[in-house]
This record gives sequence, structure tokens and C-alpha cells, in this order.
Amino acid sequence: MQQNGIGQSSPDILSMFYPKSVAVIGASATPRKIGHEILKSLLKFKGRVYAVNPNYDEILGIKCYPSVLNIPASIDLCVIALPAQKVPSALVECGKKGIRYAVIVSGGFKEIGDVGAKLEREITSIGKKFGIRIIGPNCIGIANPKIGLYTFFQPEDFMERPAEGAISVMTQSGTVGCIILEFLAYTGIGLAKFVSYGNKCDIDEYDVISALKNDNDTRILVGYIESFDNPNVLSAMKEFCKNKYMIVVKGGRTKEGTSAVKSHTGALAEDYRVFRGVIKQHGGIVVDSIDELKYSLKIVNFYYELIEKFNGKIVIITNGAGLSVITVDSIANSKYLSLASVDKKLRSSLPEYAILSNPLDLTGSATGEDFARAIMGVSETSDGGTAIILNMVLQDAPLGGSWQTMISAIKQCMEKTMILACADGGEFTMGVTRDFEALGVPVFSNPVLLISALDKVYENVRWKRYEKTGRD
Amino acid sequence: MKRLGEIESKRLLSAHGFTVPKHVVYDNHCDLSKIAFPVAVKASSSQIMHKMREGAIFLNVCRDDVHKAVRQLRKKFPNATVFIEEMVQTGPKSLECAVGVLTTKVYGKCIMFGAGGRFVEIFEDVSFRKIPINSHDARAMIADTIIGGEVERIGATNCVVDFLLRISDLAEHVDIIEMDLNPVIFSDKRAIVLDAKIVLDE
Repeated sequence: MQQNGIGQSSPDILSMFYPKSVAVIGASATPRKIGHEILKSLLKFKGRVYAVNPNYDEILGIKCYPSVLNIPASIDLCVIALPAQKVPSALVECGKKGIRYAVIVSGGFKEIGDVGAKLEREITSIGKKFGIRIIGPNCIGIANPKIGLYTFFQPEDFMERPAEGAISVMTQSGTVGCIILEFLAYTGIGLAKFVSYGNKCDIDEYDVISALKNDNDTRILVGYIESFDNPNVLSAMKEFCKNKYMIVVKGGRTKEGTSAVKSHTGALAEDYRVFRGVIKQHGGIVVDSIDELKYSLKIVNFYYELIEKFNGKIVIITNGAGLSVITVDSIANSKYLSLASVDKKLRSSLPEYAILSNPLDLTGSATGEDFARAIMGVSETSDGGTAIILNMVLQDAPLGGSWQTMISAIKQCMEKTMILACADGGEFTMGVTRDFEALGVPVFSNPVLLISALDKVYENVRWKRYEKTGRD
Repeated sequence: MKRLGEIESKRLLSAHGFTVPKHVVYDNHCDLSKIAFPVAVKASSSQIMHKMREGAIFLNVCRDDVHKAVRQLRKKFPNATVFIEEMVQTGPKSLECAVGVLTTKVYGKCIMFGAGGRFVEIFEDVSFRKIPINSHDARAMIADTIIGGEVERIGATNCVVDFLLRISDLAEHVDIIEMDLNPVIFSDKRAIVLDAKIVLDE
């Protein structure tokens, strides 16, 4: 450990997520102040925590030092929550202390204009000089639930923390980060690593993707991106996406900075259009909204292995025609999805009032048992590449009173067939939806969004196949 | 940066094996005997971006009307080159598409494919990829667009894929920083570039 030396900057930032000791610089004793809430968030950290503030001896039962240089132990990560002007001198002290990673939560940098931009250049060069890798400024920092590490100033009673999971999050915006985090928390999907990198004065998407590529806990990376500045990000992304999934939503739809002065191509080169094409080409799934991000994340997370076998064919099983008409319309508008033909042999496993076609309409008389037989029948007669969409009208008495009876059939078939349930309604339906999900069956409320998300996920599955085999 | 006019752009494309319609620059000595009528009469200069909108093109001109069309274009665009080009017959089995290249700050050279013709910027039915592309990328670009469905219907998918791969290759190896090909007529067998503008890096 270098106590007063100049550190080496780490090429791979994965170790940033595994500090043994953390110092909060600008810790505060006043509840609801940022420097207080960060320290409070870190009370669950399975490592040593130190507070830095010359005005206190102790905050929240944690010993407080006037400077990081006074801490009689090595520090792996510091979280800086000082006013912008005070950040450079604090960062120099971190450098002298040999700290490798700094999360700068403070705002007041590039985002406020020239004065802030100058300050930001200053901290970037301090970081370079001492070999400190910096997250931020203007961000909510990082998280790793495995070791109870959260640098957030969002209190736990305002923002639920996700359990351990296989999803990592990389976000330019802290706000979008909060939304995704709580989605991962209340769905129980869970979190592997989280980075909100704000102004990205040092660590950017390239560093994060390159590090998480080697993180065994990360299977899916979710990103909110406003702009890329580092061309190397594409090759890192392609490597990442060969074996894992990356789902990206983009904010900011401006014109692409191009050479084009006077051409059709230049006029059409809206930032988002070029971004979408290039990211898909390098293995990312580009979604159009946070809702679509949640949907595609759910699909990939529930069917991480089965999705690889998906062939774009769908069988709809339903007890209500209208919902299925909408689903069929969406499939017709999709790029890569289509309805599978249903096997005539299915007749014997269906009630006589059922209509043998796709959508397979079990009609309003259908019970949970009828659904179960139809699901088993479709799963048995189709190859593993076909997906089943269950359009359930739980408001209908026969199904609403007996939905439990289809669960074991679904669970059994989910080993071989992707089953995506769709239901929407009021308190009762929402309750059943939660029960389904608790039993491990994903339920979606919007069939249009479900099809659109599935189409985009499948597009990516095709990309992965081509990368592996060289064939479409 | 050097902007090539339509004639020079097409010469470059032609030299790299792309098909362009037969044309002749109009002057007092030009030989129209080998040109099949009707023709398109065009004014070409780097200042004209949108021939149709700016009135820099007459289509389906018969032999008797050529001189009148030329006179009108020369008057309206005194600095442009006026030339005559054979009309390409299009039918239900062909499609007008747009193909482009541009250089972006972060991603470098990118290729564009989409619905072409005079409404290209109104429909905005286009897709981009970073150069170089592979055949999967080219197919995905077609699938990205609405006109992609028509490309498939008329059986022109392989023809478009081949064309996009060749443009990607050309842009990668020649110092092209920008290219506008609109329209390109695709059918199941061939691709013909009807209008072209290329900017070279020098």
C-alpha cells in the first residue's frame, strides 16, 4: 500500500467495485444533507468506513477525520460530496494518500458552463497525475450489493435497494439510474454492479464495459446513454455482447456531428438513427423507452438460456380475442416475429369450444386447466424455438377463479419453451400478476410493448448467432 | 476536401464496377446517335443538392425537345454542366432506394440505406451502420426500413446486400468521406445508380 506515493492508474476498473475501505469526504451530521445520506448508505457496507469533515469528531457513530491524510489506515475508495470549488484540493489529498478510486458526487462542473468546465479539467489532471480513477463528477456513484456498497444519497426509505442479481447498470443520468434500480428492487430481479458516471471526466462507458465483461456476476448490462465520445467503446461492446446482453436506451436526439455539409445522407444522419444502427451492429439492444427497457430486460433475464434457441415464431393462447388481435397486429408490424402454425394433433388436448388456430382461442369459458392442457400441448408439438404468449383475461370468472391450476404446467413447460404471460386490469389482475411473477412466470401488461421488446431481443439473438456461426 | 459533380462521381463508381446509365455531356459537338431516347436532361454542379426540387432536371425528354430543355437549364444554372442521360425503365419489379456514406465524429465512416427518390428526407426511412459492414449488417439494414419489405417482395434482397457491401468496401478503401446515391434502382438482378454525389478527402 502506498501511503504517500503516487498510485498507478488501473487499466481495469473492476476492483473499484470491491473496496475494503471507503472514506466519505464532506460527511455531514445533518440528516437529509447529501454528505450525511451517503455515509448512512454506507453503514451496511461490509468493510471499513471513515468520515472526513474537520468540524466533527464522529458522525452516525463513525469516527470523523479532518482530512483523509489523518486516517490511520489505507483507503481504497473515496466518495467526495464537497462544494465544487473544494473538490480539487480534497482530490490532491486523496492522491497523496494513495487512493485509487474517487466517486465525485458534487455538481457544479461542466454542466454549469465555462467556470465549471475549467474546474473539471483541473480534477481530471489531478486524477491523471496521482493515478486516481474518477467516477463523475455530478453523479450518484456506484453500488455492489454483494458487499453492501452503495454511495447513494437517496435514503433507503425513499429508494429501495435491489438484492444481489445478474444485472449491471451503467448510466449517465443518476435519475434514470434510480428508476432502473427500483425496478430491479421491486421485481426481485436484482443487481450485480451499478455505475452512474455523470460528466464522465475520467471513467467512461469503455472502462465500465471492459471491466464488466470480466465480471462473472454480470450477465446483462443496462445502459442509459446520452452520447459516446470514446470510439473504443464499440469494440469493447462487441466483445461484451458476444457472451452477454447489453440493453441501451438513449437520451438526446440531436443531429450527428458529421462532415456532411450539403447531402441527403448528412441531413438524415440524426444522432439517434446513427447510434441505433451502430450499437445494434456491435451487439447492443437499443430500446426506445425506459418501459421497453424494463420489458426486454425481463425477457432476457427470465429466459437467459432459452432465448438463444428462439426462432421468432409465436403461438398465442388466449381466453379473450381482443387482446390477441392487438398482439397479432403488433407481430405483423414487427421486423422478425411471426405466428407459428399450430399442430392439428392439438385438437385432442383442447376443450371442444376452443378454436384451433393461432391465436389459439380457448374462449371465455376457459379455465386454468384448459390453459394448462393447451400450454402442454403446444409445448410438446412445437420445437424449442417457438415461444408461447398467454393472453389472459383474468376478469373472466372461469379463469379468474382457477388460474392457479395452470402454474405447474407453465413451470414444467418453461424448461423447454419460452412462456410470456400478458394480463392487464385492476387490483385483482395486478395481484395475480404479482403471484405469477413470484412463482417465476414473467407477466407483461402491454402486448404491443411486449412484442416490440421481444422483436428487439430476437434481433440481437440473430446477431449473436451470426457472430458465432457466420451464418444468418 | 473535393466535391465531385455528378459526372465525375459516376465515373468513379463506374471505374469500380458500379452500373450507371449511359450519358453524354451536351455541347455543340456531342454525338447523340448512340443515345436511346427518351432521355433525362440534367444540370449538375456541387451547388445543386436536390435536382427535382430545384428544377435542375427534365425527365422523359424526346429527341425533338432536347435542345429546348438544354437551353432552359443553361439559362437557369449558368455554372452547371448540362448533360443527357438515358432513362432507365422502371417497373413493378424495381425500387428506388437511397444509399449514402458519411463520416461521423465518434463512429467514423458510416453507410446509410433506405427509401429513395425525391421524398427521402420526408419519409426518413433509413438505417445506418459503421463501415465496414458484413452481410448480416446489410440484411439488418434492409430489415430496419419500411422499404425493406418491398425489397424482399420483389426479390432484390441479395442485390441490395451485394451493393451495400461493395459501397462499404469502396468507402473503406478510397478516400471517400461522403457519398449520396439517390436514387439507386434495384431489381432482382441489377442495381443502377441514377444520381451520385461524392466528396473525397484530399
